[in-house]
Amino acid sequence: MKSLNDVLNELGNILKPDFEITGYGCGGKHVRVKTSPNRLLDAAKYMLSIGSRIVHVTASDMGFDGIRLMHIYSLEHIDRHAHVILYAYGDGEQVKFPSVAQLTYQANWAERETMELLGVEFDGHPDPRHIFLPFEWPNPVESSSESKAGVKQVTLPIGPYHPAMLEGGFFKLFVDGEDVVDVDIKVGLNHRGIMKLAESRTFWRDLFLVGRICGICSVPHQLAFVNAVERILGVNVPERAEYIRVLMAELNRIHSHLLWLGVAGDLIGFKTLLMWAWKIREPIQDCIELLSGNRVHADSMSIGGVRFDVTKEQLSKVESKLLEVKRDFKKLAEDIASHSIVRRRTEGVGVMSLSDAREAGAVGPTARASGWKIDVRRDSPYSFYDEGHISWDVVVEEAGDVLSRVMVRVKETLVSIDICLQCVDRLKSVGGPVATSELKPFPEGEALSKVEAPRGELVYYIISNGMDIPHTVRIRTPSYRNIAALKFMLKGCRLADAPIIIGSVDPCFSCTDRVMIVDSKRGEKWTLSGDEFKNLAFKGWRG
Amino acid sequence: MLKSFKRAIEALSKPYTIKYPAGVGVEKYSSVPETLRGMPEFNVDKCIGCSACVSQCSSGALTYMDAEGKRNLNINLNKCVFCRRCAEVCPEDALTLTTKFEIASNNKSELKVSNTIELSKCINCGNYFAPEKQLNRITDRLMSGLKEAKAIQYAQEDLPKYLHLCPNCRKTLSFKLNIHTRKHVLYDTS
Amino acid sequence: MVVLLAIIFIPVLCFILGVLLNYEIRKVYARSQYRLGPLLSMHGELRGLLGSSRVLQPLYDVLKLMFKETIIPRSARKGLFVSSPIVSLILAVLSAYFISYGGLSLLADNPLSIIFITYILIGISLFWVLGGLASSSPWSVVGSRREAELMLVIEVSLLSSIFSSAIISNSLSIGGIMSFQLKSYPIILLNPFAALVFIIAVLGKLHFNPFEIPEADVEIVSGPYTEYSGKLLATILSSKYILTSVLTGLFVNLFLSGGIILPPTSIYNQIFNFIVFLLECFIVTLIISIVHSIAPRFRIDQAISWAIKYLWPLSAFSIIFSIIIRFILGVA
Repeated sequence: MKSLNDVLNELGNILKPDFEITGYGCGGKHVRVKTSPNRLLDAAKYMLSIGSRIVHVTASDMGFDGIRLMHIYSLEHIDRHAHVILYAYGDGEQVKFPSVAQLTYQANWAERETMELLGVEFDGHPDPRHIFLPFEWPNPVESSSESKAGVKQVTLPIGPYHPAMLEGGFFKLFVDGEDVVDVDIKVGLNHRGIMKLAESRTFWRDLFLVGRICGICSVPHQLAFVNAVERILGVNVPERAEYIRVLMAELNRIHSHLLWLGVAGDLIGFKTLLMWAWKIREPIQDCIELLSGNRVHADSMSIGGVRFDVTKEQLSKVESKLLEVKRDFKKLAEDIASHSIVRRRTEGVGVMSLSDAREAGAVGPTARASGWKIDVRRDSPYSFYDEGHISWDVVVEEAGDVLSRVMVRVKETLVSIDICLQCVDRLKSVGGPVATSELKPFPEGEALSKVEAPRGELVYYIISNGMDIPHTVRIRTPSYRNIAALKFMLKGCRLADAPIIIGSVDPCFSCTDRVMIVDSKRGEKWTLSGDEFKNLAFKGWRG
Repeated sequence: MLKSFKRAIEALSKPYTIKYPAGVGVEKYSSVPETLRGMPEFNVDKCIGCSACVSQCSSGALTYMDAEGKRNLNINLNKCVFCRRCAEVCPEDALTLTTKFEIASNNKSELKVSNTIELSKCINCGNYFAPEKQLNRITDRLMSGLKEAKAIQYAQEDLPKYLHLCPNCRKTLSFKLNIHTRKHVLYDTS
Repeated sequence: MVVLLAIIFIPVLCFILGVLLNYEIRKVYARSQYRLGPLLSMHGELRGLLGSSRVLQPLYDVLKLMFKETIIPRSARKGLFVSSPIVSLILAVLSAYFISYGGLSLLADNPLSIIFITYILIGISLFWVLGGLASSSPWSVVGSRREAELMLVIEVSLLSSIFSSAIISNSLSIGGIMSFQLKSYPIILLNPFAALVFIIAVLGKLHFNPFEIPEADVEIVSGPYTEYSGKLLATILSSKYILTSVLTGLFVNLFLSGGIILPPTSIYNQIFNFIVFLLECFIVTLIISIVHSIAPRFRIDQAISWAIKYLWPLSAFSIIFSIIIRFILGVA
């Protein structure tokens, strides 16, 4: 088994002389390596060959130095917390980089986003269409978005307006009868320009901004942001504050999984499950409201700690509600797992094998359901998730179908309830302040922070240049990866299964669409005109 | 499916939803906790008009305007996200988020929470510059923090002369008293 | 004169019964989900016209639609689009005449009423399919195709259970079946398999879970009814209400002796029979609603394979069973 230093030495040998370690973060585990643009592909080939995965590809305009393209690789299978942040500066006005998407699908969407965000070009990208800008925006390469899979098909759009989806996303399904032959995914219908907004507001205002990217996973966004800022500042968070942070994060996970269980039930026509699951979720919402003051946007994190303290009464109420939820949820989970029609609808549907999951770069419960044991709380522990403080297990299933994803989330909810009960227990005895008093003006620096949101791995990269306004905020949400991984799951499924497969990765389109666009002007033609729709519909049933 | 059947039959007589408003007369359902972040409210006696809340408001809902000798602090409830940052940074604990959450209204002008503070005049030029209560509070805090007798004496002599000066007049006075730090650069001391 | 009154009165009775049954379905569905059920929601122009009672909420929903704009898609086949709901409503009203409502009926004693009502029931679903196909929207096309596929398996089962009860009673008229049950036992006791098959078929015809496939709202918006709005949607909903009450009434007539417990000699007996009829309708609807609430939706291919594996053999068995019962009763 290699170590991080071995990997860096070999990488240095391969990339000679364009290899320079420029900085360390997170106790020496996040290594920043500078190289030149034309060596990026060699580095990528080496890193992928030793089993690392690409966490994100992003870029930032650093002023006089040029545009800096960053590849963030994870080496957590070698060493905890180990990441290599490989970057290169583009030269001059024409910024061209080699594309890593030709080697692996994981970087596909990230490079398309960077093309739109900063105007860089990626040589050799297999699909250089727009991802967030509207369809009618001129494409960098005029490529047709039709499927190559055959003549006799109807194009069935799920989205942008569809009862199955609470938010806007566009899945263009090419169907032949009831079988889905191909799928084309477009997101970007819900973006609000959050990354750009975050670069023009102070750090404190950004904290509340990122908490409102998503209503369901509001806590992990704030937690990741605050972790990154604290790494730049170099402050330590007091013990009591860490336990409260874990408590809030796990309460958020429980409520998100219960909400998702209801939505998944709705997608297979089981509206009753929606009501039952959401009824069980109500005490959790009451807990979140009791502790933080709001059911949805908990706003509990502060730079250096948490914003409120918990009293013994509140803790005892939370504990009794958690025990009630645990009892009710266990019964409901058993009822549902043994329901014959639910099993029929979810077993063997939307299968993603382990190799597909690795190729697609799936994260979170979607990846764990295919047998891939990745969990940020185990691989790069933040707060008090390491063994010294709280004991818990990672939940993994093997089959990779919708039923596995359901079971992973069900079991994770039970694990989370246990973690919450442990935190409540510790909080009764651990005292101390809930926020640090060592805050100082922001130094220059950059930091990477990762958090396990209910949907998967949430990554924040923040670059600060000494002002009270961050220079760069880059966010990569788990739904970004999971929705891209849908391409592997939707091919060859049946039409009636498409909504439940899309729902089984728990897509949070609000999280996915937060990239800045330059202009919001639209062209005049939407996707298909009325005549084209009619012709397609008639083609479907006549031909 | 039988377990679902049993649950459905059990549920027939126990509806969980109740009529609005929650918590009114019904003990077993959740009532609004005291920590709820609802509508913000000024404590008129404690507010000194320092506008620390305005600078930290995360959504730009809190604004202030100085006009005609008064400072008007306004909270636009349309923009407020109820984050409680203003209450957190207030040095006088004058802003609290109450538990009122029924603030929807047909009338935009109802969605405003405001407070008015009197400004005091500069003793030199006569312009309004800072809230009177803030200056009083500065005096109180300063006097209560001094221990040495000499310091207290100096403070009691100087505060009435120099506290009520607006920033412009203070700059001019510091030139006159020769205490400006860059005086050797800025003007001729010969 | 009485005939003329009956011609007007019976569809109205059927419609009101359908409204009440629909309210019961929604109420039981909601209560099984820990919710309260339909609360009053009336269009402004209706207030004061009809009184306001929660039990008539489905009626207010239909009447509200009459005040809304009827939008016809430009690329739809207008003739078929507009006429399909109207024809299906007419067929639904026609089928209402063949049911005996606790003794009140117009054509239930017609010697071939079983045959007529079978054809009419098939026709109602057929015109929904045609309306969906004429809508020129990909959702309606998929919905109509699913409805047609579902009809293939469900109609056979419905037919077999209706004919099972006809075989036992040795009569092709609903009145004859009811009088047989008055003399002998209710057919639900003689052939419970036919009753079970009928209930499952009713779930399929009225698009209740687990056969909510043609109207699956998370996959194909509203299936064949997607493009309908305003008065045409009101027509479709009315035909649905009438179909609900017709099918429930048919079940009570064929299997529970139509509520006729006491011989209809005096007026008090007739009122008693009518009340028993209503009660039995409500109990049948209770069962349908609970099944609707505890089952998710089948996928269309799963529904068809389940039906062929389990429902068709059960239907065949119920016919054979009826023949055996008939033989036993004939001999005895």
